[in-house]
Formats: sequence, C-alpha cells, structure tokens
Amino acid sequence: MPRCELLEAILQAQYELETAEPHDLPDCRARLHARLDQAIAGTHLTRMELLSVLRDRYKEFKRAQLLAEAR
Amino acid sequence: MSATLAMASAAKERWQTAGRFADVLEAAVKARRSPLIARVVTWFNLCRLCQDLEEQLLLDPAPNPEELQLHRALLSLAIGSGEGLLLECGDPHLLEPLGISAEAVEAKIDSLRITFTQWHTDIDPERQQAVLQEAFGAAV
Repeated sequence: MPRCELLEAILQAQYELETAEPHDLPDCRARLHARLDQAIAGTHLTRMELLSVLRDRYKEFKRAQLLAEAR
Repeated sequence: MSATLAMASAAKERWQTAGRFADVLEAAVKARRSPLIARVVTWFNLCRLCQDLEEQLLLDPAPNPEELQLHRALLSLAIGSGEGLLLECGDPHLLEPLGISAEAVEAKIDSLRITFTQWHTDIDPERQQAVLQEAFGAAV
C-alpha cells in the first residue's frame, strides 16, 4: 500500500475503533494495529508514538467525518 | 444578556450537566452490588459521554480550558473505571449475555488511551515532523 494511502487507512481504522459497537471492538483494534505495524515496520517507533504524532491529522479527519454525517 | 453570552452560558451549563451525569455513571460502574454486566453497559455509556464531549470540542472553534480539563478528567475516569471492570472479568463467559468478551472492554480502554494521548499530552513539533517523515516518508 502506498504510504499516503496507509496514513489515510490508519486514520480510518482509528475512527472505526472509536465508533465501533462493543462486539466489533476487538476486530477494529486488530485492524488498527495491523495498519500501524505496517507503518512502523523497520523503524524504532511504537504504535502509540505514531498515533500521538497523528493527533492533528486525526482531529481534522474526524471533524470532516462528523460534518459529513451531520449533512 | 447578549446572544454570545447566552450561548456561552448555555454551553457551560451543558458541560456542567455532562460532568454531573458522568459522576452518576461512574458511581453506578463502581457499585458492586449491581451485576457486572449492568455495570459494563453503564461503563460503555460513560465512554459514549466522553465521545460526545470530544465531538463538541472538535466542532468548537475555540474550546475553553475548563471544557478541555473536564474532558481530560472524564477520560481518566473512564479509563480507570474500565480497568477496574477488567479486573472483575476473570471468567471469560461473564459478558456472554452482552455478546462480548473482556477483550471488547480492553479494546475500548485502548481507544480511550489513544484519545487521551492525542488530546492531553504535549508533543514537540520537531519530533512530530521527524516521526511522520520516518513512518510515511515523502507522503507527508
């Protein structure tokens, strides 16, 4: 997967985890972990470190999702 | 009262109500006289409240420090009480009536932790850019 698509896929996976119904949570978490692991493969980064630096992008992403859902 | 002041006052009242409601939910989560599955459902409602407040923060162009502080406090509360519930979920079949396992509670706690980190921890902008470059290269 190209890197820019991977970044978008991580944001989407985090959103799905946040908004998942309780019975879907374990699968959503596994999907987010898989995307994160793909992004940090070959680096010394941790999943949480990557999520931490994505804070601004994720907020933008989520704001856009909320506004789209409100329309 | 001006329209702006009235809106600010209404928003403040909404947040105060949310805070009081969260206290009620947290007390119900900790009430061991109630069945564990009822407390788990209440905990998910507490998580939902945190999420609603976060959505308000996201859509507010200038959230005030008190709102951010309450969001931080509620997230901490939800993470802590979720951890408490996890300790009681030793039997893997306990949550079966809800169609979930303890892993669902654990995954929700992880999600809350991510939110806490993204909203309420500091970050060095230079380090942030370096990490993004390392993970995504020229794509960022």
